[in-house]
Amino acid sequence: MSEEGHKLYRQWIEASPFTSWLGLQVHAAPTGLEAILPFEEKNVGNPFIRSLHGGIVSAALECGGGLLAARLHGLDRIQRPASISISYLRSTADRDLNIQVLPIKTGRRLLFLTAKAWQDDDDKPVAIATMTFLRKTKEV
Amino acid sequence: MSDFINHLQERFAQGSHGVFGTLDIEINSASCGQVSLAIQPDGWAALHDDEPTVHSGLLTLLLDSIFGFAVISSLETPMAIATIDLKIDFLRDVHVAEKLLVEARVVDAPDIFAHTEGEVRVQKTGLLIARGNGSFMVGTKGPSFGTTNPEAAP
Repeated sequence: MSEEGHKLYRQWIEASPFTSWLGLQVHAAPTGLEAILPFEEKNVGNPFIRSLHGGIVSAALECGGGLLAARLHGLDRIQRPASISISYLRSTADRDLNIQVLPIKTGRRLLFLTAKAWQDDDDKPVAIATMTFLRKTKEV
Repeated sequence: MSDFINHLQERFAQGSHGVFGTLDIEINSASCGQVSLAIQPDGWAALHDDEPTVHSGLLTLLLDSIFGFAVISSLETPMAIATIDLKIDFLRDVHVAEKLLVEARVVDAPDIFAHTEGEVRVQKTGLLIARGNGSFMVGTKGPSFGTTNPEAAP
């Protein structure tokens, strides 16, 4: 991914208070989008077993999807999905979370993305998701 | 399950529940598999800084949590639970200044599973913002909510 692409993602993240609060960092994107969510104490969902909150994992995937959707639809800001379906496959630990988002089908109005999140081994995802985005043609 | 409500209230008040520490949450009710919360988002929850609608990630986080609360409130004996699947539809944008009503219920709990559904509405108007459903495994390994370890609630 070009430096210009990285710069765009950084701008969109900075312009999105929730995405900034989450702390998502886009670090590479040979195809689709790859990012990392550095571990922070606020992301712990179960303090006893120190697992990440499932909603935080989902939110990270949604943010990644929103960034990729903006790029693929040629828009100038992070997008919100119309829907998300997520399966939690494994428990998480108090470590960084990696995410990858890939396009399944890019249409004129609709965009379908698939995403996965993992911690230590990308062959052992902790969560997988599909997201649908509608291209916004006017302000709602 | 009044202990459970007390526990939630305590944690929200102390800000010890991660993201919930930053939210202004009121517990309307939580018993027998039905939970109702009122939440006031703020600017940090916005999707865009110049168009402050609530980020879908926060809505997912709220629904994931309240589904878990609903399952726990339905249990006769405290047990650990884990989210298996979650499906959320985001129907429309909502301004961060709007107070939100988040409600969830357990629709069925066969064997080791519990199925939930719920929605996020604008409290003032009842306008539907997001709806979803979630499936949970009940009795997973690990600590459960209850007297032995209340910190293990979702």
